Amino acid sequence: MPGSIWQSLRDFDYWPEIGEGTLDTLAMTGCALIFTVFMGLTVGTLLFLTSPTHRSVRPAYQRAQAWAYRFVSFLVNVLRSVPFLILLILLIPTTRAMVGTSLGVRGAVPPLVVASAPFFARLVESVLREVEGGVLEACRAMGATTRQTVFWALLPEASAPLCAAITVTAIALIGYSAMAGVIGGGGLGDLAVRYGYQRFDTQVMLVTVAILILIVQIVQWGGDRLVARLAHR
Amino acid sequence: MIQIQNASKRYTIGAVAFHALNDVTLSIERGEIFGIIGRSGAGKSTLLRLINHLEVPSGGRVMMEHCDVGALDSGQLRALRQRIGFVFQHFNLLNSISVAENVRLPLRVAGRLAYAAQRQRVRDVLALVGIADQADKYPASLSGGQRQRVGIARALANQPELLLCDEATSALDPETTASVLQLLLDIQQRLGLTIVLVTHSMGVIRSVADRVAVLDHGCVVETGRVAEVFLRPRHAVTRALLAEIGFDVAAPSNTSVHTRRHVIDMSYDGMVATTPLLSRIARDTGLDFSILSASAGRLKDTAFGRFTVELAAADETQLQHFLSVCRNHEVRAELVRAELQSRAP
Repeated sequence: MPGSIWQSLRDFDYWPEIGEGTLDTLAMTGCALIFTVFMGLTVGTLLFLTSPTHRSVRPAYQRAQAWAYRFVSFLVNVLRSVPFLILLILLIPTTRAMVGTSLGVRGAVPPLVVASAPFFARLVESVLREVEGGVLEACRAMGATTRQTVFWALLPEASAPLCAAITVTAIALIGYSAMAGVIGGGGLGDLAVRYGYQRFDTQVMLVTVAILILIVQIVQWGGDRLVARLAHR
Repeated sequence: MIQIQNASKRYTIGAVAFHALNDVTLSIERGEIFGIIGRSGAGKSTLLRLINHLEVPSGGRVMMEHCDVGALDSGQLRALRQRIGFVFQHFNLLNSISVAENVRLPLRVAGRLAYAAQRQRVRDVLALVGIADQADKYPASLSGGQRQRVGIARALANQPELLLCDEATSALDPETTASVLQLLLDIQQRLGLTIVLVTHSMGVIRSVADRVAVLDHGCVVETGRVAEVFLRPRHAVTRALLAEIGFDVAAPSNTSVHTRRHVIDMSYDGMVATTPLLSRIARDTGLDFSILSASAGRLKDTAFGRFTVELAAADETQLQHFLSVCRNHEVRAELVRAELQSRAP
């Protein structure tokens, strides 16, 4: 019996497509992850710095901070409320304007970033809230600027949970990227939909799912290792 | 060096206003160790944080070397804070970076030294607080006492003139507390620092402070030299805090055998405490007395003694004679009770 499984895998005709799809998925996810992390860190830190728990002592700034928080928070919520599939369609004109096409790997990256950056930003905000307040007070007491506090204390102190949040986001992105396949985004999701759903080729679908499982496992394992390394407990 | 003038701090939580500090006026001299003591919630941490404006007063002002801290812009305030060390109760170290990097952080913030000079300074202050061998470890692997030493090293990194300590020993066990207090005394003497120290323990005040302010419900109820406050506490809160460390204000005993009794409270400190005072007084007055309660010892580097004595069958002239002899010996003597009625057997 095992022999026949190997036999059928050897006879499987779509290895080139599967290989290409895997690379496309990795490219989409990786590219989108870089932008997501960059934007999410920025927006998440902004949310944290303006959040009600962390307000300036000066009343004049307090009001400006409160409005900044409300505005950014509202924007993040709006983007997170739109189902990804709808977001993909809504963003088609914007995507075309930005990268020239709404198809393929390139066309998939902008909607992926728009969908996952607000999600990651919220993760960043909650991770930063877990940083001990005393550390930030110590920074204030030594006369640090906000920028110094963020880059030298806040983000380093949060590095382990931030890394865990990046892992979660990366895995969510792999899932999103499969969905991007539906509207011609390419990658493993595209393959699974075209062969598995439209042509009833169960074998292709199973292989793509198996590869996705493998990628997710590897990402989670790598993320966990990095988190363990960064945590100096 | 520091003048706190009519400072008050009000918090509003919802519709309820809470007065953390009420019209506090204090003056702290250069080179002294000034203790601020009170029960939890008395406002002592808030008062300490006013000095470097980690808390902004709702009223009044803080003067540092004749410069109004509240009038500084944010850049000047940061520059001022860089010259003030702050030691926290829970250390507030960064767990993600090594001990050496924690101590180097204020130097990076100030940005006045090159990298090599920063590293050298870090080695120097770590050696000063006695943990040079822990430089490459992470804070989580250190004991509480070692972590507080890192906290102190970090506070000293920028060579401040002023060190603010917020319950610096409250999270430590008694033995570690003693060694950290000794360290504070050492560095104060070696570097000529001014230290303002907040605590809830009279034991801490007793071993390191020169002067003390007692805080209760946001008000300073008593302030003065430590020996003065210990020997002649005026406020109930001070007495209660002293009683906690067994430094009881003598309660005249009721088990007296004499029918005419004068109970006298005697206290002294300084050089005179090193002489055989009681026997001299006894000899000079020619009067007998019994001791109802007594304590003698040291407050930081001041020797002191306090006795409650009962004068046997003394009349008014003998009593006045006794009091004046005490005064001649630089002993503060006060009649606390005179019972002239005879008690039925």
